[in-house]
Amino acid sequence: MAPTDPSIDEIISKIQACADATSVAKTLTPFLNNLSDQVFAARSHGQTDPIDALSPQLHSLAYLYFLVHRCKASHGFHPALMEKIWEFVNTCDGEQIRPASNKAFVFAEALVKMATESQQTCLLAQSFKDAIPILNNDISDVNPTHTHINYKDFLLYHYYGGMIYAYLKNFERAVEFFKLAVSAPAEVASAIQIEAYKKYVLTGLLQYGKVPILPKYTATVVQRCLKLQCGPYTDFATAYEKKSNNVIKAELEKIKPVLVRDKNYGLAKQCMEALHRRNIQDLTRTYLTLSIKDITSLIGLSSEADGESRVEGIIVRMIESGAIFARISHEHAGGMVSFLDDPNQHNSMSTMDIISTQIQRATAITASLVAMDQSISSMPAYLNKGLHMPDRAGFPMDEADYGMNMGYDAYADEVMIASFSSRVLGMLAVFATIACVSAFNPMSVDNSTKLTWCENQIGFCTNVCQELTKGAQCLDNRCDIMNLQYSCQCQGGIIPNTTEYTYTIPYFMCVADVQQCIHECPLSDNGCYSNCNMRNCAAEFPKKYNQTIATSLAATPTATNGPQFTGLPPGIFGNAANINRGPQSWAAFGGSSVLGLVVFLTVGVMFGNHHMD
Amino acid sequence: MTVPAQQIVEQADASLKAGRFQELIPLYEQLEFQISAIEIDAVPLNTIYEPLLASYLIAHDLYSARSLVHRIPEEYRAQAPQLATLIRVLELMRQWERQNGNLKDIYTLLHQSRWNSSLAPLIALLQDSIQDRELDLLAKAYTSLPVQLAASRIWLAEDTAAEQLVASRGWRYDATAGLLYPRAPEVTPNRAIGLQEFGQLADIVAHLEVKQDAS
Repeated sequence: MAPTDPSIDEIISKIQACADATSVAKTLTPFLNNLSDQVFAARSHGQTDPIDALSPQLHSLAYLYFLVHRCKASHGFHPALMEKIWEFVNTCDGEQIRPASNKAFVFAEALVKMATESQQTCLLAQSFKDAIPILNNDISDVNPTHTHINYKDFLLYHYYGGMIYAYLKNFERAVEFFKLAVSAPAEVASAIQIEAYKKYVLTGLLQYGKVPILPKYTATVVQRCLKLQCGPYTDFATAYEKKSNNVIKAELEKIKPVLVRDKNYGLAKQCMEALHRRNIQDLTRTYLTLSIKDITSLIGLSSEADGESRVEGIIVRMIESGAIFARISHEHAGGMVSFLDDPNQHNSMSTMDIISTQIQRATAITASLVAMDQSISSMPAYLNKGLHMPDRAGFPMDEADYGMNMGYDAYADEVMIASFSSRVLGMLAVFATIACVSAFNPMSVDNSTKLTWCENQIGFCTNVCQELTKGAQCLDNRCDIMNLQYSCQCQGGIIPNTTEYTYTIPYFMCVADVQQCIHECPLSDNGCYSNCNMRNCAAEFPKKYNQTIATSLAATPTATNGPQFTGLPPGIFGNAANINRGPQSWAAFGGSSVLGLVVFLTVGVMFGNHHMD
Repeated sequence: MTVPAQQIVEQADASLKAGRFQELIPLYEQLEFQISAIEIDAVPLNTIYEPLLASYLIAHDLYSARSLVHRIPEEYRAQAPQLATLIRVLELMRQWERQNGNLKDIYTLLHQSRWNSSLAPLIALLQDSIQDRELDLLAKAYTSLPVQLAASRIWLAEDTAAEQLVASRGWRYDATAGLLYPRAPEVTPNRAIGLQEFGQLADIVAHLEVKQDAS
């Protein structure tokens, strides 16, 4: 124990003194946070375990801290610890826990860490039912720093999860899980992935009759390794797809030792039975009625003794499980099977329930996907990559369109209405004083595109000003969506020359004009096209500021007729370091080709709050 | 404090006597966990395994039953003849599932073994559930079936089987052909659709149509 830490007894008494929620939150939490780990491991004066002096109900918070530490320290299964955990989980006081939610989170994944071990234990103890609710929640987000879960845990989790599903005969999910394990990004193939692939082949054959193709993002090194190691399985799969009973049986016998060694023989045997079922299902497409004898010979079981009764049994089980719809009649000797159509007309409440649950799931997934998009597109690595994409005319238009087509309509509408409409209307009066003359008709462009442009302009201004004035904020940085008027002024009265840069309002308007020109060209009139493209954006549309504002300050804006649009001044863009200057780097707008709308929605809200209040 | 094991045992006994096996399953599962993990050997595990296994069989949850059997340590299996019988029943049921096998074996086993008083109500339930399930399946799958087939599924001799089925389930019997004509099981009526749900459905359809027009 560090000398500055209070002794355990003092800690205990302090904990016991804070009984109600507010005092716990205010005083106890920072106090406990500051204690070092060793404190929790120490024993109190009388050599008793300090955790016993606390009651899980009254002192939930402190109890939690102690438990977390114990969980982390224990490497196996201790009945006493389990009892305490059990008791705690059942009786803890939610109010106290809430402020320490991150600590509770740590507790949860100390348990999860024990959970991959416990999954193994689960498999060994074979109590699969309990694992299913956990497995049913797909994992979409793994935060390794936060949760101390590593790559191997991820692979193992999906491997064991797939095995559990396969045991419960939910093969569709099993295939999903194995696929996730195999296609996880990797630099070196892991043995877990190889084993998962073997089971993936077998469960794929069971469920779909063929091995589903691995996704394109599977690491090539893994794929190579799989080809080397899983040869017998792929041979079996090819034989299986040919659907000839004898060939498959021969192949199965051939690789039986391999299967037994990998403990996959049971799965392979199930594949054989599934084959019969699949063949019968194929028959339903061709025939309305068949005698059982014919069915037996058609699916290749006529050579077996007792084949017919076995086939009848298979059919009855298939009817029970809903794999086919049929009725058997024994009026003729030997039995006739008539295949029916699906009697479910989907006009019942159960269908309605299914629809609602699916819609809810889809909405939830879309929401989390949008969140993921936003977080990715503000990452520095992504912005870096996006920057090096070539500039193309019409580029900014596309991203707005793409953003709309991604289905962010509702999202965009919401954000626009919520954060901009009132502010924008208020700004109109202010902007009346700024005489930014525009030859371009702002009304020809839709609102969301103008939103894009404005955000680009604002971001540009921030960055340029920071560059020109060595990190100072802008004095004035505004943009009006309605009429595309803007103003950008840095500290010390410096006004950047917007026509020298891209992703400013002048640039966008020029580009839009070029597009319009091209659009009006008759088809395949190359002369007309080249005429339109001749116009060099930024050079042809000199958008001058109102000189009165500029001349009232020290600096003067530079003339803009001359300079070609050479792209980007090195200070801003040539240097990758500048791009990573915070999330407000306006390279975000330039770089992200596909997520533009989402990105500047995020940043726009931030800007909106910052500038437009 | 978590509920002590004794209390749970008493609760379970009450349910057992009343034959409410559905309640038994979670009770016994918790008992098993508590006794093996926390209060070691507070109650002999034997008395838990047998009812739990029987309940799983009645609920037709063969996966859980199989996992339970794997979990039971060897020494228990040797000691308890009832447990051994139940395990044998489980295996037969699994065979029955897979290959539509002979139910008579199961019935014989169930009837001929001796069950102590605590398990007896469960065993009776088990037999009824197996029989009912199989007969429902036959009614669904067959328009006409030979008497022998039906008789093999239920615990009755062949000659009485036909009358029994006609009487209890309303099946038709044709003595000359030796065929039984099962009656298809009733379709449960749908619950009525509420106005709000109807509105939801209308919204969904409208939304889809808009999307279709737009694309």
